[in-house]
Amino acid sequence: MSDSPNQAEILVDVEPANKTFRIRVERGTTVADLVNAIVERCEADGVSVRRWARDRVGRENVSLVLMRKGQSSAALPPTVELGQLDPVVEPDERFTLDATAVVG
Amino acid sequence: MLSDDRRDRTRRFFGRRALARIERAHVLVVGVGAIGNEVAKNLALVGVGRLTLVDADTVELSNLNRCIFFREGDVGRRKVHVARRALRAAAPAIEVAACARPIQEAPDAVWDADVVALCVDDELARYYVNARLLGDGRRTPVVNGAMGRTWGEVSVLVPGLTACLVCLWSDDYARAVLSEEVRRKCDAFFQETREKFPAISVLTSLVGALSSTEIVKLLAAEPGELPPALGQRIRYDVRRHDLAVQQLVPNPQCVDALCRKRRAASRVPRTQESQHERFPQSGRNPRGR
Repeated sequence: MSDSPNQAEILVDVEPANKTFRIRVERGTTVADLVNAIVERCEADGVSVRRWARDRVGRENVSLVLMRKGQSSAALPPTVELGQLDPVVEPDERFTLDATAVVG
Repeated sequence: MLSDDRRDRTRRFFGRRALARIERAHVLVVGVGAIGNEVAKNLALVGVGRLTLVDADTVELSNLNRCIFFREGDVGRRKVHVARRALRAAAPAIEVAACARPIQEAPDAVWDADVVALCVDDELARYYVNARLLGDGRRTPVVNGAMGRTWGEVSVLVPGLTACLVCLWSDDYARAVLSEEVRRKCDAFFQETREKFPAISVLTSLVGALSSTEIVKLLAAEPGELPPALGQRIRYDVRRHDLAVQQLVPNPQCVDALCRKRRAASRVPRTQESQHERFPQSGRNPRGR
């Protein structure tokens, strides 16, 4: 966490909301915490991330995934804490929310 | 004449030694739908010596818009049998075994493969294949292909060494996968009403090509040579031609208990890491064959 030892602001692109959210995260924030917060915030704005994801992957049950963009491109598992990522999360680092493909 | 034989251009591409490794290889193809057709076709044409096809489904008319091996006259026949016939016609030297059962019920012999090509649209099958690969301890690489509405993604993994096939799953997602399967098995109505996903051949060809490229790299590698995509997911979105190569970060609290155990035992960092350093240096692929 480069903003401070315990906090950083990151940017998360959320396609169904057509927005980039600026979110302050803490060292112990897990990927699942962040994803759930975004989903709930979008729901409050009348945007269903899960419906969008279902349309994207063709399944009722969808696996949302947070992806790190840029040089450190990575797909992050839900239980990982953002403060544990290596390399460390940079201020204003970009992430994106998407769904995992299932159909073969 | 050397320039006139069936494998001339392939030999020129890979060289004799790499092609010989490919010709000796055995690939297990799980799922012989749209992506499985493409993967099997490419592997056969490249010269892979042995394929085992596993799929319990029969050909349906709606498959014909994207499956290269299926024709109208094949409707109702087992996909694996139709594909086996077509593969033998396309590549007479290939040895093809067909198993018309779900992968969960396939005999042990099918797992004696150098690489597993995972081409299914069923998460329970992924869960099973993952558990099987984690359990047998042979470090067999798996190349997992799937498509979304506008993109394809392919991951190259050795479960237990890299992230596994279910490391990105949440507990809720895993529970839903397992309960949906129970529901489908208990009530035929749910099988009939399963969603039909929009799919066209260009996308399945793309995923099939990416998958088979990664499989061939694994098979052709020199002893000790490490595949660059190991532990990664290649994701290509056709809307704006966005290509991303992403590290799949292993999950220390993976929903698969054996994955958790293996990771704890290997004492690896909890996030991104160099998977390559953990490969045995003596083998020609991650299994050291």
